[in-house]
This record gives sequence, C-alpha cells and structure tokens, in this order.
Amino acid sequence: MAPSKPDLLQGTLDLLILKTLNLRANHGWGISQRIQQISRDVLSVNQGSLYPALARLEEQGLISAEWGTSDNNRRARFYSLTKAGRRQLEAETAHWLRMSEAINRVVAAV
Amino acid sequence: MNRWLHRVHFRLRTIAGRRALEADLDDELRFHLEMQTAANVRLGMSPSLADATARRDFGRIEAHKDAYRDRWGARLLEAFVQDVRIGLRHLVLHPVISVAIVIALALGIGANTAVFTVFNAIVLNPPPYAQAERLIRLRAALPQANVEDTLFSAPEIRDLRARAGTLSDVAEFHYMYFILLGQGEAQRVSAGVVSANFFAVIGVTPKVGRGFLPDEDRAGAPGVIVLSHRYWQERFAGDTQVIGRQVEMNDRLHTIIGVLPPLPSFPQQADIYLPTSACPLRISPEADQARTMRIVSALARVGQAQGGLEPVSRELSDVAAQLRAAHPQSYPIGFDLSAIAVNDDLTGRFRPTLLALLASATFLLLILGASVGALLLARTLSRRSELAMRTALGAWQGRLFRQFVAETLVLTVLGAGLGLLLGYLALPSLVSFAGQFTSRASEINLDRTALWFTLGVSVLTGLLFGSLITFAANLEGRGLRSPGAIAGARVRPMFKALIVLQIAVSFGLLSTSGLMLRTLDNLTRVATGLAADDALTMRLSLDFVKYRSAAQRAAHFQRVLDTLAVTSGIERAALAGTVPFAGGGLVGADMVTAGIRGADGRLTRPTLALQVASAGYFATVGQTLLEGRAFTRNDVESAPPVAVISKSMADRFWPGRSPLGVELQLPLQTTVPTLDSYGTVEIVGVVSDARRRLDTAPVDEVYRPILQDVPIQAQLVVRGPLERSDLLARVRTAIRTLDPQQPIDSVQTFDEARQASLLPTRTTATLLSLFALIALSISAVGIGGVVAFSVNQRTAEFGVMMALGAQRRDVLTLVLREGLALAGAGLALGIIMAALFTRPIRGLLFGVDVHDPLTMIGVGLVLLAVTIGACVVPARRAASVDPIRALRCV
Repeated sequence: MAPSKPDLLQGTLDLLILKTLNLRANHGWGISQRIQQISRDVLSVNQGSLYPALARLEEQGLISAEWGTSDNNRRARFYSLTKAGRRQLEAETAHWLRMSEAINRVVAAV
Repeated sequence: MNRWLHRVHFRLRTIAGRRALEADLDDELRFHLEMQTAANVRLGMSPSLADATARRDFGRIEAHKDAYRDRWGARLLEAFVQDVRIGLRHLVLHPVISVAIVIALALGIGANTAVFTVFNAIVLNPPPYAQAERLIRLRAALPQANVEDTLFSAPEIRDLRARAGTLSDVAEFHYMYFILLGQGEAQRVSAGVVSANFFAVIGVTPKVGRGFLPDEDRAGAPGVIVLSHRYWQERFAGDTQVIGRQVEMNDRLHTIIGVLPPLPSFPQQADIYLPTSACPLRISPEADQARTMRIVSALARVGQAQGGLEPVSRELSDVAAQLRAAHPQSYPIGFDLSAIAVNDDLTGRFRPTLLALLASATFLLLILGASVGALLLARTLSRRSELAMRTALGAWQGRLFRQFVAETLVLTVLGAGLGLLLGYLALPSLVSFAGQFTSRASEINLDRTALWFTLGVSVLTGLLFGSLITFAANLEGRGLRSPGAIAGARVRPMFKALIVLQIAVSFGLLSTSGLMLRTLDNLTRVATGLAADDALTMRLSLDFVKYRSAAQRAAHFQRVLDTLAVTSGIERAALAGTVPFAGGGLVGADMVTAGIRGADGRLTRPTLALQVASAGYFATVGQTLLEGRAFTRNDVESAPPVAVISKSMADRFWPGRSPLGVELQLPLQTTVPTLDSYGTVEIVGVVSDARRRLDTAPVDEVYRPILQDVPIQAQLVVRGPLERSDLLARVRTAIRTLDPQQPIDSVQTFDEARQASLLPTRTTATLLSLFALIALSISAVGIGGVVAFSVNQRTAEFGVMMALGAQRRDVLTLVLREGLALAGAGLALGIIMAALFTRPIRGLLFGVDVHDPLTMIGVGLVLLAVTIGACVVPARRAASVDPIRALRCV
C-alpha cells in the first residue's frame, strides 16, 4: 500500500533522530553520519528527509536547536533533545520494540 | 495546550523573522555540504570531485529548502500574497467586469457606510450628557383634550421634586426670547430659561467658566447668562475672554459666566441660558402659582438605584393620582404623567425614516452583492479551462477557495475604499438631511466604529462570494468530466436564483419609494384652504419689558398695522399669533377646553384649536368669510369679547343652523401667563377652513381678536405687488420709525414655509428613490445578462429550431419567455418581501395605504417593462442566428 510506506519510514526516521540525539547534541550532518555508522552503513539518511524531519520535530517541541561551533571551528546548528523529546523517545522505543518483536515472531513462524 | 502554544509561537517566529531564518537555513545546508565534501576528501577524492559528489548525494538544495519552508507560517502569508497578486492580474485582464464590480460594490458599501454612520452616531452612541441613560423628560397627558405630551406648571415642578422619590432631581426649562441691545441692530436671542440645577440634571459641565449657583434662580439675583457653544462661536468667535463681559438684554445688564460644550437642542434650541429669575413672565405670581399655567418642560435624573424607566413610570402615575385628588379643579379626569428617555426624545422622530433607509441600504447591498456574484460567476465560467486544468493537476478545494476569496477580497476592498470615499463625500448632505429630524445631526462623523463596520461588510462580502464561486467552480469542474456537458449548465440555476432575488428586492425598494413619492404628491396637492402663496410672513417679537401690559402691546400692534396701511406698495397687512406651516406659538396652549351650552341647556366641553388674529387677517391669507363679520380694529379689550369659528366647527356643532350669536366659554387670556380666566365670548362670524399643517386635517378652530388676547410675539403677514426684498425693506423702514429696537426675523413666504415643511418627506422620498433606481438598473443589467448568457449557450439549439422551420417570432418568444419567467418569479417573491420593506415607513405615509394596490401594480408594470426591455437585445440576436453557422458550432 503506497500511503502506509512513507508513514512507517517517517516514524522510523523520527525515532532514529531522537535516539541519536539522546547521546549528545549534534548537527544535521553529524546525525546522518552517526545513523549510518551505527547501522553499519545499512541505513543511509536522505538529506531531503532529514532537514524537514528536524524542522518538524523542532516545531513539535521534541528537540530544540541552537547555533554552536563544530569540531572544525565552523558555525553549525546543534540539535538537542527536550524533556518532551525524551518522553517521546521512551514511548517510541517501547512501541518499536513491541512492534519489531511482533513482526519477528510473525516472520519466524512462516 | 502547551504544545499548541509552542507551535503558534514557532509559526509566529517564522513569520516575523523570515529573513534571518532564510539565512540560517542557507548556512545549515552549506555546512552539511562542506562536511560531506571534507569527508569525501578524507576518502581520497580530489576536492572538485569531492564537492561534486557531495552535491549529487545531497540532491537539489532548493527542493530541500522548500520542504523545510513548508513548515513555516510564512508559507501561508506568501501564498496569500500570491493569491492577491493573481487576483489583481485577473482584475486587469477583465477591466470592464472588474470596474463594473468595483463601482457596484462602492455604491452598495458607500450607501451602507453613510447610513450606518448616521445610525451609529445618533442611535448607538449616547447623547453627550453624563450618564445619559439616567436623563429623562417628563410628559403630562390630558387625554380628554387629546393631548399626550404637554408642558408643566411651576407648582407641579415643586410637587415632583417633593414627591417623586425615584428621581434624584428635577429641572425646568422654558423657551423665551430676549432682545439683545447695545450691539448694533437690536437682535432677538432665543433663551433657555432654566432652574439653577439644570446643567447638573442634564449632566453637562460648562466648557469655559461655570454654571448657575443654587441661589441664582431666586427672584432679585443679579443677571447671569451661560452661552451655548454655537452662539459663542458665531457671536463671540470662540473668545474665552468673554467670561465676565456684560451684555444688555431687555432692561437689564447680564454677566456672561460660562460657555457650554456643543450640545443637541434639548429640550429646545437656545442661544443662551438664563436662570428663571431673569424671566419676568416666569416669576410673575400667576405663572408661579397657577397649576394650569403650563409653560415649562420638566427634565429629571433617575436615581442611581433605579433599574430602567419602569419604576419611574409607576411612581409618576401615582404622583398624578395624588395631584388629581389634591386639586380636583385643576386636573381633568385622565390626567397622567410619564417619562421618555432623552435619546428617544431627541431622535424618535427620525427613527422610522432612518430604519427605512437602513433597510433599503442593506437590501441595496444585497442586490448589488447578487449582481456582483452573477458577474463573478460569469467570469469564473470564462476561466473554465484554467480551473479544470488546476483541478486536474491536483489543486485541492481549499487552495481554490483561498484563491477565490483572495480575488473577491481584492475587489471588495477596492470597492470598500471607493465606497468609504463616497460615504465621506455624502456625509455633509446626510448631516443636513438628518438635521431636518434631529438636533443630534451635528454629532455625525465617520468614526472608528463606522470604519470597522465598512471593513467588516467588505470582508464578509468577499468571503460570501468567494465561497459562492468556489461552489460554482466545483460544480463546473464536475460537469467538465462528463463528456458533452453543456458549459455553464450547472451554474445556470444559481444565476437564475440570483436574478430572481434581485427582482424581488427591486420590487420591495421600488414600492417603498413609490409609496413615499405618492405621499409627497398627496402632500403637495393638499388643499390648504389658503390663497396666499406669495404673502410674506415675518416674526415680530416685542420687548416684553417695554411692552409690559396687554394695553401697551395692543397699542403697539395697532400702530404697526396703521402705519403699514398707509405705506405705499403694501396692499394688505395683518397680524396673527402663528401662521400655518411655521410652527407653534410661544407661551400658552393653542389647544383649549371650551364650554358650549346646547339648546337643551347641557354643557359640552370640546377641545378647540385657538388662534389670535387681527382685522384683515382672513382677507390677507385668503380664508373666505362665510357668515357674519370678521374682526375689526374696534375689537379691543374694552369691547365685548368675540370669536370667529371655522366652517367645520360650525357644521359639527350647529348643523343646518347659524352659530352667530351663540356664546362660548373660553379662556380670555391664552397668550401670556394668567390665572384661569374663563369668560363668555360671542360668535360673530364663520370662515372657511384652513390647514395649519399639511398632514393634519383642519380641527375645530376658534379665532379671537389679537387686540383682546394680546401675545408678546406675533407673525406679520403682508402682501403687495413689489419684489420680496422691496416689500421687506418697506416693512422694516415703517416699523423702525415706530420702534428702532423692534427685531424682525424668520422672514418667509407662505409657499416657502409650506415647502420647508415638506422637506423631510421630499428628501426621504428622493433618497429611497435613488436606492430603488440603482436597484432597478442593476436588475435590468442582471436580467439582460443572464438571458444573453443563456442565448449564447443555446445558439446551436436555435440553429436546429430554425433549420427545422421555426420562425424568428418563435425564437423571440422563447427568449422573452425565459426573461418573463424570471421576472414573474421575482415579482411573486417581491410581493411577499414588500410587506417587510414597507413596514418601517408606515408612519411616514400620507393619503396612501401601505398595501396600496395602485402603487404595487405600477411597480410591477415598471419591472415587467424593464425586463422586456432588457431581453430585447439578446432575443433579437437569438432570432438572427444563421442556422447553417449555428449548426456548424455543434
């Protein structure tokens, strides 16, 4: 089904961003690199989805953004988790674990 | 809740800090690219390849930005600006339709702004008194004499102060004139003679100086005056140094102690205000003691604790009952007291007219709106392909709606701007129009409320028609999808509904204006019983100090008549207490209770209208002497009291008999304050009837000689073969030789007075007719337009008909029938609506019924004629369709 696919991806990307930011504040490029690293290059984040997703999360008040300096002394926009974001991350992680477990069980059974 | 607030804040921030955000976004994306490029270099790429790869992986920067920007509120604003820009472009692309729409809206919005401004200023805004809702005027009713609202006597004012606990204070006012001396030509000054608490009761603080002190209305107090704002401006050029200056009036010096802010004339117009101690008539023992000497208005302030007029009215009725019981000889059965709120008193006479105008303006806007809707629909249809394309490309309904609203908003805002200008230009004439009905007219101006009203009306109109067209476009869009659908077919019922509405409203507006025009016509044709259109009237106000006694005044009046009798160029001259169409007398009632003893010896007590007149008056104004004699110079105070009665009175009381020699019981002194002075008066003559007002039938009139019941102010009536200015100059010269300090003013001919009394009706009729004419022409265009539209749609059909042998006439009939069907439906609806329209003007009509069939039929015929006229052009075009070409179009 066409409409359900982007929904799933979008929700997943949000979860990944929140999870990444839970460790420490980071800028957009750092987030995408981190996701790629941790997933061992399985997941590659499309920049076209990343920045709108960041904006959306900021609008929802789950993350906040401020300007800081990167490792190479360049002005960069750093995103960090808000209190609401932390709560959301917990809820989404639990949800994800439940979902993936369920899917695993279904896949294993067949 | 918190989340939601956060979002609003986020959006607002994005709207406000648009440019900074744009730069930030740029920076952030560039940073991403740089980092990626650096990473690529670390992987061993050359810098240029690294950059190219990074850019390729990143994708289109602008697309990302767009996706990002969509999250911003600024997007909405941007879209709106774009919509407005599209709207303006359409406006320029269709100049004729656009100009027509803007003009139509300007007319409708202008008319509404103007009428609403008036309504707002004098009905919604309270008058300029402190706590105006607590200010009332008291009314005394004498139902037996058919008098609902008469004045009060001085003892009654004292009683009200003592007995009415719901009223915190009661003030008195009476109108008097004084002669201002020592400043060039002697001048008549109209004065409000008031109790010292007057300004406190009406809730006004003088703008400059002070008001009256509590003791200044006691007899013997030094003369002090307070100036009205207008008089201060006109006479003293707004000089604040005027306080303390002394002016000579009648026999005394008065000190100016204060100047009032601008106020409406309440209860009557006055140039200056004086305490009661300054008026010799008011402080005479007669005026101070006689309960029936009703010469003052009573104004009162309702106590703080009272809720509304209800308890006040109840208590006033109780007080009236107490007075009847305590003084049975002074109060007839039915005597009652009541109260009217100040603003009802000031504007009540204007309400029906104003309501009629308000209703007409609203309906005019409705009809204009309907035609604008039709024009926009037509324009929308011409954009069918564009709309279909946009719908096909996935433009969602909301987006189309937004664009239509923006487009119509552009039109309505332009129309509103122009309408506001029209309303502003029309304001001076509106003020003078309203001034014919209410003295609050000077308060009318375009204030913030009126501006908000205009803005509200235009935005509402924009939204209404925006949604209307979206709806139509929607219908059309669906129609397009089915192959072979006739273009516009689905919208045509909407078109027709709009036209039917227009015709119905036109019918309503035309019938109100028709009824007002008939009223005006009836009033113009009224037979007044007078033949003196060219007679010149002027007011002679005597200095009541110099001419204190009745004998002195009578002698002065007789001298005036004698001098004019020998002045060349003056054929006739006569005096009367009042003249027709020019308003009432000064002091005392012009309605009196008479006693008539019938042949059976029983006494009846009818109410009669009493006038005083000099010798020669009937001949001068053209009333015919039917029986007996008219007054002569010998009917003086020492001679037997006599009276002349009107024909209608003679017919009513003595049908078929001569009333000559019959004796009446009448008050002998009615024009100055006196204690009850009934005496026996003999009827010596009968004259033909004459009207005092155009809209009132002659009542039972009794005339008394001016030398027997001598007023302090009289109207002089002169006729002669000279030009008006010559005639006036000779009269002035003649009277100056007798008394150089005699003011002469209010100069007008009978015809002018009559026309002036018609002015409110005339302007109301003109305004309503103007509204109706605009409505009619718009309806005509609407009918013509819709028929032309449907003719266009049916060209092929007509071609087939004619190819199959139909005649020109058949096609003509077919088209006309469509127009007439619309008109018929509109008329049917209009007859129902007319009942609604004509309700507010019911009280303004004269000699014509609200449901006058003649007017209704006339209006219907006019509308039918206009419909046929509007259909002729498209019908002829339809009939001249070339069948071959038409068929090719299929």
